[in-house]
Amino acid sequence: MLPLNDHFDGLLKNLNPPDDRQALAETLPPIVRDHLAKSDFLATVEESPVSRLAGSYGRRTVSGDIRDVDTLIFVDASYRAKPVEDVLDDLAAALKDLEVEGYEKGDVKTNRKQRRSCHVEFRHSGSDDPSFHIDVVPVIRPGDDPTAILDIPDREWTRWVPTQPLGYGQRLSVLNGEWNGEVVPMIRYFKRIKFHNMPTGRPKSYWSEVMVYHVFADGLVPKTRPLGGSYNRAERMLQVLRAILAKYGQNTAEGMETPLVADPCLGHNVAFAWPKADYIRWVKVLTDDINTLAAIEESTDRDESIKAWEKVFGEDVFQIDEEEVAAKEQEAKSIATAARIAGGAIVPAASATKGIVVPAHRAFGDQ
Amino acid sequence: MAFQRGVRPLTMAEQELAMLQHRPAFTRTRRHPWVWRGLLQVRPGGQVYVIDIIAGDRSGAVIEVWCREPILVPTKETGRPPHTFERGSLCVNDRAATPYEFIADTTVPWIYSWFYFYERWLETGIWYGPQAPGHELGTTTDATARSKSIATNEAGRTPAPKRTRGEAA
Repeated sequence: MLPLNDHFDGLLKNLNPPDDRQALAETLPPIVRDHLAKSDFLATVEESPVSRLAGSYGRRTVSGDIRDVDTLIFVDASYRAKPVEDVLDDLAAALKDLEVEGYEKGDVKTNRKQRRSCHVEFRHSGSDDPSFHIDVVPVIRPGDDPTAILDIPDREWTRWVPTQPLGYGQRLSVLNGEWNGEVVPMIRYFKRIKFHNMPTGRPKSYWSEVMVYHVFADGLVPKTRPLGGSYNRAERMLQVLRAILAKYGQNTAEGMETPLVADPCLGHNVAFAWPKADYIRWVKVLTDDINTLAAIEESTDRDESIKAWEKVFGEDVFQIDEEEVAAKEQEAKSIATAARIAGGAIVPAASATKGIVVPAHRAFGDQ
Repeated sequence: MAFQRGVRPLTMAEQELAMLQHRPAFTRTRRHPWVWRGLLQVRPGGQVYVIDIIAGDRSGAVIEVWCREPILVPTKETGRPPHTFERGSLCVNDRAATPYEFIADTTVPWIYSWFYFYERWLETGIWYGPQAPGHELGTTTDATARSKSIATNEAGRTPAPKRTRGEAA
């Protein structure tokens, strides 16, 4: 399978959130924290409330626009003895006057079913559609370790339930390191495939992430080729899709429950609310994409390969980054003139003071 | 690292020592002929190739370079990857390393260079690296080369004179 490295690099870049959203996502948590620090409504574990980024933004697994930022606020353990509505009411009261520059004052919502957090919507002036929202999740921390099992309000608001979002983030980082950084890009690619081919309906973005996590954590794809060579991203993507279909795509028959997508830390089914109709549609999408890619598995035809990947990811994002490619072209010309091997990679001689000079040579061979 | 060229042909033991000290990615897997196997990556996070260097019994002997993994992408014209010999070993230079040169200091860097330009060729259809006259591949700078199929890119190709395998490194 052709690696199409420039396209996969460009795709990853195109899946980055817009710069303004990125900046907003970075500045919001301290704004929320500072705002809550001024409020007397909410009792937090420290005078200045401790917060942590959770969700895909915090784990760097965002694929496309950032529509929300999840933030954990560590609240006082005394809330455990009270009805869980209390903490959400207090948090909602404390967030009521939260303002973010460039947006109208946030509209705080807490009374929706299946809500474990305070949901604050922000609109650009004059717009009716929420442009952005933050989910502030009140959390009771048993000790000082934020990555330990935490308690959050249950969606029915009747009790506290365990969760370990920060622990998962750590596990993902470790797994990603063990797989030489392959896991996080695959999560982002896989989320994009779902979004492009099935813009509405479930699985939720987080479920897709967890599925990819399990593919790697359970060793459902080979780490290397038999002799130790690696797979390129195109090959790896197809392996991941096949593994996900094999693990999660077998429950379409009537009467069968949708599959267990186990929380990486606690084991419960994060996809317990997967409508069967959505699931069946998702399996079909996955199967179609695998068939599209299987058709180019042995192909060395570049145009044909690009076309297939465009179908899977969308041609608007499966694009090379012209600037990046121009830089690579420039680098190639420099290396053709003088190169060094430094840090296990080849670089233009001009960019490295250390390393081995590559003696002049010319490739030939019977063409 | 700088190797000093010797005044006498290097022994294979010296070649091995140089590989051990300066090319830890390569491990000797065999003697007579001497074979080193290495995992090579030309850019951080990039493809890992499994390479065998078959260096014969003495310094200056014909050296063959094989990519064992992955299977390299062929050109349509030859059915083989670019700049390879008839049997499929890589042609990393148009001259062999001399008996006075360390393989670690010549052939290995040439292999890095070869793979760097191979990866760029895969993406662009253009071989940016130095090529021996008469063996140029995809010398066009036409931007449309990028959109062409690897297997169908014929731009700038010159018919190659017949060479005997093993003539060069």
